[in-house]
Amino acid sequence: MNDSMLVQDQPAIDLEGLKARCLGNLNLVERVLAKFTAQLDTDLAALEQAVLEGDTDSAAQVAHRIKGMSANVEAHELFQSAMTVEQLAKKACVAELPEHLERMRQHGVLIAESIKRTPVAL
Amino acid sequence: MNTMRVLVVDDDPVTAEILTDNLQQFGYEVATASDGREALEYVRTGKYRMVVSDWEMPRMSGLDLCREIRRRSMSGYIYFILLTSHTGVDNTVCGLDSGADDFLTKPFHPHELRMRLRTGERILSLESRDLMIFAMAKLTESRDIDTGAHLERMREYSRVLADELSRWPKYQDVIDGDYVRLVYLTSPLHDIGKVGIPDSVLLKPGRLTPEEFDIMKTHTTLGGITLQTVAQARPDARFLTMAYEIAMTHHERYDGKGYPRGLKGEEIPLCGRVVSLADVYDALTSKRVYKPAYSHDTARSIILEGNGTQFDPDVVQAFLNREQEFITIGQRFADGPQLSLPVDPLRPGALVGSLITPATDMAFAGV
Repeated sequence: MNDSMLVQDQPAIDLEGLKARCLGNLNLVERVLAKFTAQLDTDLAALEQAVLEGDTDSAAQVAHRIKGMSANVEAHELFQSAMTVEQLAKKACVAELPEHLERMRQHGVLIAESIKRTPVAL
Repeated sequence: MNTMRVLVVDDDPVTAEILTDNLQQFGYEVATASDGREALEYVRTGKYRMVVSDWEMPRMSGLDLCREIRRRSMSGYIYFILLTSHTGVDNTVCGLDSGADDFLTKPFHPHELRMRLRTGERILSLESRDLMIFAMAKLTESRDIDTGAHLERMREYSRVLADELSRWPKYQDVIDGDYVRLVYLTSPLHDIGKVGIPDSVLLKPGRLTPEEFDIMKTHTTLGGITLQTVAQARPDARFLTMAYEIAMTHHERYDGKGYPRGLKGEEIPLCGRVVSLADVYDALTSKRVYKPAYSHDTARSIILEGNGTQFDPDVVQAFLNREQEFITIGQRFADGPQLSLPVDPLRPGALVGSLITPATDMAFAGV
């Protein structure tokens, strides 16, 4: 899998799916996306720190949280990456974590760009 | 407008935000906590009947939160839904083992969430049913002004006895958690037939004549037949069957000299044998207009006197194994200042014949 596939496979966020989860409440969608991007920044930083320190327990916990929230905002690619990182961390596969962490970061960037490009009201 | 309060517990603020908004749109009042410990503080307020909690959280996980809630005696049942991205049989078993009632998998669908909560509400409404049953029993008892918190105590005594027996290998296939709960639920209905006993007999302060005593004894069949009729219409409702058995048999004696049918030994349903001892113990340790409250030791002596004659020896042994809890329950649900009459340990039976001559405490009849 190369980086370009991250962009092209599917939308960073399935906005229609998220709207359905928010029962069509667009104000809620906006609030949720704002919280999501802020929390994702925080969690990715925490995850990076945990990986650097070889703290696989913390890495698994943070990846699990990212997995849960990305599932609920319909960010499917990020969900998959987070799940992989969580599994690797639980198995203490430290060497493989940086590569997948980088992939999660790229997903985060794509999601942020996607949100800027697509106003929710549209 | 549905005003039930739901507590959402999740360290993921995004999921918590969506859940909170969904639940508010469904008409619930919602509070949020970011981990199990914070949630426990909310639960302690007694305001929350339903909890939707994430599984993995820092400080205290959803599983630990659920276990803690189940461990504590909350004022009412709390319906617990685990929100999780864990799947597989092992995780399901683990979650249910912690006491969770239901699961919701991330990503959740709002309408599925709504249905799960409705299921929870139905379960909780059963607790309201339980309260109604107790209210009915209290209403019956209200004609008898001298019984105080008798029902509260005797259902606790009954629960303790059933719980003790459930731990014995002999009863493991007979008594499970549901049975214990049903005994607790239905034992207060034991005297519901007294609603059909005339005031002149039920409220008579002195000794009953043989004719009056015969009338009084019919409270077992009056209550039993009424409950049996209802139970026949709803054979799936196990609590009605147990309520019938208790009302009908709580004055039977292990030696076959009780009433109304003179059943003997294991012919008497186990729940009837359990409630029989609980009822007598409470009557002995409670103050009445015609007698003081006997001490636990006195009551214990009298019950031992009836071991194998009035009472099932297993139930007596269960009582002895858990007698400290009987004392605690008696203190917790005390009717007020109680007199305690010591008894001559060499002649415990003398008390029964000389001091207990109740018109209303039918539990002693035949001792």
